[in-house]
Order: sequence, then structure tokens, then C-alpha cells
Amino acid sequence: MKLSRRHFLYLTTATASLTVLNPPAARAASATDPRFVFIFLHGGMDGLGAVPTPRDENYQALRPTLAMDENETLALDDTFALHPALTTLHRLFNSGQMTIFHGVASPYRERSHFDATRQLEQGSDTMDSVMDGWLGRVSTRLYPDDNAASIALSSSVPLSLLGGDNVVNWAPSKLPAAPTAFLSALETLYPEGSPLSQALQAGRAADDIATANENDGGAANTADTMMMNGPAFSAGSPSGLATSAGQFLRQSDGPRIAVLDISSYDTHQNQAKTLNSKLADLDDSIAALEASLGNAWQYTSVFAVSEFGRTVAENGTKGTDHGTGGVAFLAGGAVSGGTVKADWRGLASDALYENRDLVPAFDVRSVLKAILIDHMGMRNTQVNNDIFPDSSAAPKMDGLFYT
Amino acid sequence: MFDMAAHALSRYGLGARPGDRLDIQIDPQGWVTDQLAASADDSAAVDDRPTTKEAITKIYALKALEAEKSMGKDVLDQVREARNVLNETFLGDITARLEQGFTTTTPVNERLVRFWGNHFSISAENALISPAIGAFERDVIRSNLNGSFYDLLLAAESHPAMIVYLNNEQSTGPNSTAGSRRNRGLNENFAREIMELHTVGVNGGYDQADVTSFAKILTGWSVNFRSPDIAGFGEFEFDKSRHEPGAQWVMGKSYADTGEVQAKSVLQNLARHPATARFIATKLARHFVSDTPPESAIAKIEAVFLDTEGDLPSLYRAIAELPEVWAEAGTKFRLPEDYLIALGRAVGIPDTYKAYLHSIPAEMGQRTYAASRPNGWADSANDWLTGFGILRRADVAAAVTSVTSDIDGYGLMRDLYGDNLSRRTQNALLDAPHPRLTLALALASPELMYY
Repeated sequence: MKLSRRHFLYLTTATASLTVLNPPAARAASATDPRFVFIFLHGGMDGLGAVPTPRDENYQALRPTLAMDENETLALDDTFALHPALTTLHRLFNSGQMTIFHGVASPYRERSHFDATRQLEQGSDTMDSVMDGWLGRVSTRLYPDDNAASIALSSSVPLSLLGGDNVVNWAPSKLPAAPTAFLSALETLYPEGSPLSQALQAGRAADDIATANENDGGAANTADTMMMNGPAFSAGSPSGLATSAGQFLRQSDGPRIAVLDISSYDTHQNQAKTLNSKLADLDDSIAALEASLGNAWQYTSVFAVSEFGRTVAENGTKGTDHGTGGVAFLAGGAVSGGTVKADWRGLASDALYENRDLVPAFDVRSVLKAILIDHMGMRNTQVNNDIFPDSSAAPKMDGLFYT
Repeated sequence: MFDMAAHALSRYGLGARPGDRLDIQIDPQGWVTDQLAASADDSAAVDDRPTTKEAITKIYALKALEAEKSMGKDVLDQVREARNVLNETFLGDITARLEQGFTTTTPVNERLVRFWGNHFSISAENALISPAIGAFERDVIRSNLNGSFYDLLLAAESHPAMIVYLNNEQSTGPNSTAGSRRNRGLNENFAREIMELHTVGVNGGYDQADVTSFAKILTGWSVNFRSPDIAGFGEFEFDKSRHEPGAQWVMGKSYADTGEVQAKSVLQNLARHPATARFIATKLARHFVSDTPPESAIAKIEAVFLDTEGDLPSLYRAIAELPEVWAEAGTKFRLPEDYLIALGRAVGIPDTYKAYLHSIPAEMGQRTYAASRPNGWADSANDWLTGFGILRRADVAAAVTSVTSDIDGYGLMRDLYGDNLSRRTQNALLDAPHPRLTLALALASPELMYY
């Protein structure tokens, strides 16, 4: 195994506490390691918009302008269909590589974006006492000998990854890169172990892997340098960032967990057009992951979920308001899929949560536990004690992976 | 000896310019409080930017073109041109905001403008309203900086950009005249976000029924978007035909149907609710003291809010006197745009950079006027102190160094920080093998990153 920059960094600069508490059990990084991509759909994706029930007698009545006819949708089974923008997901469903959860929710039962997001990303229903994210806790425990095990394709580190010892973030940039000699001098200026120093090292480690991506035939940083070309934002399209994520994860000694954020699912008004383009973003992102992961796709699972669902009935402005139960997708070569998991009771008013929302039939943590235990190989007790404390009401869901 | 003047310029202002520290040495606290009179406000860089009505006229022009039935090439060209006009206004507003940060002589006021602008965040993620956000900041936030919290709240919630951003312009009471027509009804977004983000906060003691009732009360709060020839175009408009008739209960209080005034009564009660005092005090303490502010600081601001029914200058004076703010330097990590502004104040940004100045905060991860969620930008290091964040700041420090004329980085830092310059930074600057590296290190030093 070649000594990659991130292992080198670990050997030379890992903090004392990390070395003492977690003596490295040298992970034999290999091309067949399980990979996990977490896609957070911010704003509350409309579950019934993404996975409608065109044959339900109440569906058309409750959504006079938003409902789709059955022949516009992509068929899944006798009850459910897919929004027509989700062609990649439809193909994956038909080839047994995608499972849909209809009526999924965290334990949160109010309708604030920000609290719902926090609860899902922290992975706890006692938010105030938890400051880190569930995936950060996973990353620290699953890859103790690794200093770049998880990557956020983002200019910030999402809450789900906060607190992890080995988390980096990366996004394309149009700024001309600072000279290496300057960065090395900064490493000396910033006090060892300080947050500035740790961030600088994490950034340089991520950049080195990105360079490896390019050498490996990828084009991770596709943004042109800004100075000569005039102004333009380089935040990156969701599918462009997904391509980069796949390039990072497919490296035999690259990161093993990636987090992507897609914004703007908060469709209060004139929903049809926005949702169409946001679902296309999701579908394109999963297609981009499949393509850029290449052989590693077969060892990968991708979970896309939102902080909550939306109202079953459309509101007064051709949109939907904040709801409870939503829809989540689990896709990937490692997934034993091809079904819609639901506890379907129809859309009659008394079958809805508080007469307005999809019933929260599944706890999202049941699916996440399956990903961690059956796919990533974590121990049951570790997941129940350290990752999702107070989650005895949400047992691991079985049968989601080939194990 | 700890330099109070250097500290005040970072903590309460936007970062020191050369000479500032000596200028205010005699009375740093007086320098802070003297700016808190509305008459002192130096807003020269943004005074001449377009008004709300001018911005909405541009939006109207685009919408009218987009509504044309036949989209021939000439119409498509006009649509493109109209979009360019919106974008140029938006980017010009961002440039003006940055220039305002670089040049203002009342940086304490400017910090408060930015604080409230972020509290009442409106995002250009809705591209249509982008040219009105700068006008919102100047005409709503800046103009109401020194009144009561209620004045500021009312101005913010009745501004056309806010009403469109939070989707209220079409929200219709189910039993109103307009609501009896098919497919018209409530949109509860505006009501929920006013309570959760702008006033009492998510734990402020309201439930779904309160949100729905308040949404009904807000029906009719809309924008006159009919035609630039009509009086009142581009302004707030109460559309009686959409307003839900009848009394409503919100958070234990009954509100008779007084039309437009019904919502003002709710805003008035929300503005002086104890939960609002707590929520605003906590945010101010987080901004000026630390990411995890001590209860002592929150409680002092909260008490003044309750005693004065949210008199903003009284709140500011309380903050200017907080020992927690004066106690310690460098506990808050600057947001990317604030970092750029601190650089600009320290060394000046040459005019040759002006054309793409507006994109630099975005490249560092913070698109000005375009927070991705309606709670605005996070005000804590967790969200910004990342690998990407530090590398991009280093990129900007190196780029600024490469275009500034010869500046002695060490002398500059002594000027800006005096004895507050850390020994470690001082040694690194003195050890650097050439002057360009000294300046680049100075600009990326912990002193510039934190305030």
C-alpha cells in the first residue's frame, strides 16, 4: 500500500489524545471497502410529489393542480409510482438496486425546518445535550487510523459530520490557489492543535486527494480560475459535486463516507416546476455517483432523505406546507432493493397524521442502523450506544442489504 | 498591556484601518457609543443605490416580457436583457455593501446593520427578488436601526421583498371573497417564519393552530404589482379581497378582524413577548461575545429589552458596556465576508479588483444576500472554520498581497493591533524570508481571522 498523504499526516501530526485513545488498528484500505453517501434534501421534500399514489381516490381530490395522472408517472407497483424526473431511480428500482421508504420520519414531530434538520443530523431526540453529528461519530469510531475518512462536498461541514476526528470538506474553487510555500508557512504560524491548524491540514489533505482524482482520470476541480475569466459563482451543480464525491470514494485509499446537500425543496408556492427541477437534481446526482464510482458502485449505498415531508393536500398557492412523514431513497450496488416499504392506509383524512400529513410509519434511524451494521460493518452495540443513543424504539430494519 | 482600542475596533467594528487605533486610544468605549446616534451613520457607499420601487419596476419589466404569448427572437433577447438588468442591480448592490464595509467611518453601526440584515435574511435564491434585497437592507434595516424592535419588525414584514420571499403575496383566506374561487387558499410559511425566526423563536410557545391562525390574519398582506403607472406600485398593499374574515386566536390572545391592522396587533404583541426578548438577546450575545455566550451576558441584554419594550439604542448601549465583550480578544471567528472586509480596511482593495469583488465572499463559501435558508448565515465557527474555508482565505490573502503595493506587513500589524499582536504571529512575521510572505502571513493570521 502506498503511503498516502492522509496516512502520512496521521503519523506525523495526529493529536495526542487520538493516538492514546484509539491506537491505530491499521485499516487495510481496499478497493472493496463499503462506501456510503448521505444526501440531505434540504427544505422538506414533498414525498407524495416524488412518489405519488395516482390510483388513490383521494389523491386527485386533495391535489387539484398538483396531482399527476398515472400515465405521466413511472410505475413501481399497484399503489406507488415515481415522478417522471426520477428515471435513474426507476431504472435502479427495476434492477433491484433501490428501496423506497414511504412515510419515513425522525422522532421530531413539529414543523420547523431548522429543528427538524438538527434532529436528523445530530441523530438524537435530545438535541440540546448533543453537539456533534451522527456521521461524525461514525467516522471517528469506524476509521480511527484515518485522517480523511469522511468528506463533505461543500464549502462548510454539515452538522451530520460535525465532531468527527477525520472529516474534511472540499468544493471546487475559482480562486487562484495560494502558493504551497505560503501554506507551509501558515502551518507554522497557526498553533499546533488549534482549530485553525487542524482546518488547514484537513483542507490540504482533501486537496491532495483531489489531485489524486485528477491523476486518476477524474476532473475534480472543474472550475476555471476566476481572475482572468471574470466573475462567476463556482458553487458547483449538485450532480457536479456528486461526480467529485464518486471520484473521492472510488480511490482505493480515499474517504469512505461522503455527504452531499441539495437545497430548495421547500415548495410552498407553484411547486410543480420547482419540484421537477429539484428531483432532476437528485436523479442526476445519483446517476453521477453511479458513473464516477465505477467498480466501487457495487460496494456503495446512497441514502437520500429530507428533514420532513409536506402536507398531503396542496395549499392555497399551488404548493404544500410543512408536514411530517416523508419519502427516502436507498440506492446502490450493495442494496437489496426493488420494493417500496410502506404502511399504507390511503389518504382519507382520518388516515393522515393530524389529519394533514403522511403518517410517520418508519423511524429514519431504523434504516440508518441497517446501513451502519449490515453495510458498513459496525457492531450493533456500538451503533445503539454511541451513534443513536435513546433509540430503542427504532430497531434496525432487516433485509435491506445482501449480507 | 491589553490594548482596548485595538480590541474595540475588532470586537465592535469591522476591523481597524491604519491609524484608527491611535485615533481612538483615549476613549475606546466612547468611540463605540458615539456612533449609536442615527445622525452619525456614514452610509455614503450605498446611498445612491436603486430604491425598492426602482427594483420592482425592473422585476415587473421582466415578468411582463415572460408573459408574452409568442416568444420570438426579439422577445427572447429582451428577456435576456431584462434578466441582465436584474443581475447587474443585484451584483452592484453587493459591491456597494462591500465598499460600504471597507470605507465607512461608523463601523459599529455597520455591524448592527449586518446583524439585523442577517436576522431578517432575504435570499437571492429567489432570483426574482434579488434586485430588491439591497434596497431592503438600506430602507428597512438601516433606516430603522435606532428605533424600537417593533418598528424594525413591522418595516421588515411589510416590505415587498420579504412578503414575496416568504410566499405571502398570494396567500388567501379560505372564506375571503377571493378564496371562494377554486384553488385559492392559505400559505402558512410567512406566519411560521415570523414566529420561529424573527420573534419568539421555535420554543416560544406556539403550536400548529397558532401558525394557521396567524397565517389567516396575514392574508391580504401583499404587494402592488399591477402596473408602474398605478399609484402605490411596488409598495406594500393590503388586499382586502384575500383577507380571511373574523377574529382569530394566536398564542392565547384573541384578535378581532380589523383588516390590515389585525396582523399589526399580532406583530406588536410578538415584538414585546418575553420569548422574543430572550431570543434576540441570545443572538446578540452570540454575535458579540462568543459562540456559546454566558448566561450573564444574555440576561443583561434580555433585561434591557424587557424594561424598554425593545428600544434598540438601549440594547446597543447595554452591549457596549458588557464586560464579557471587553474581557477577551479573538473568541469569534469572522464570517467570510467579514474577513474580506477586515482585509479591505487593513490594506485597501485596489479598484482593479472592483469588477469581481462581489464574487469573493461567494468563493469563500458565503454568497452575499443569498443564504440558502431563511434563518440566514450561522453565527458560529463550526460552520465556517473548515478546510475549504481556511484554504480559500489563504487564497484571498495571497491574491490581495499580490496586488497591493509594498506594505510592511509587520509594521501594519503593529499599527492595527499594538500590544494585542500575539508573540507567535510577531515572530512568524519577523522570520518570514521576504516581504510578500510577511504580508500574506499577516493577512491570514489568527488576528485577522478572529475578532
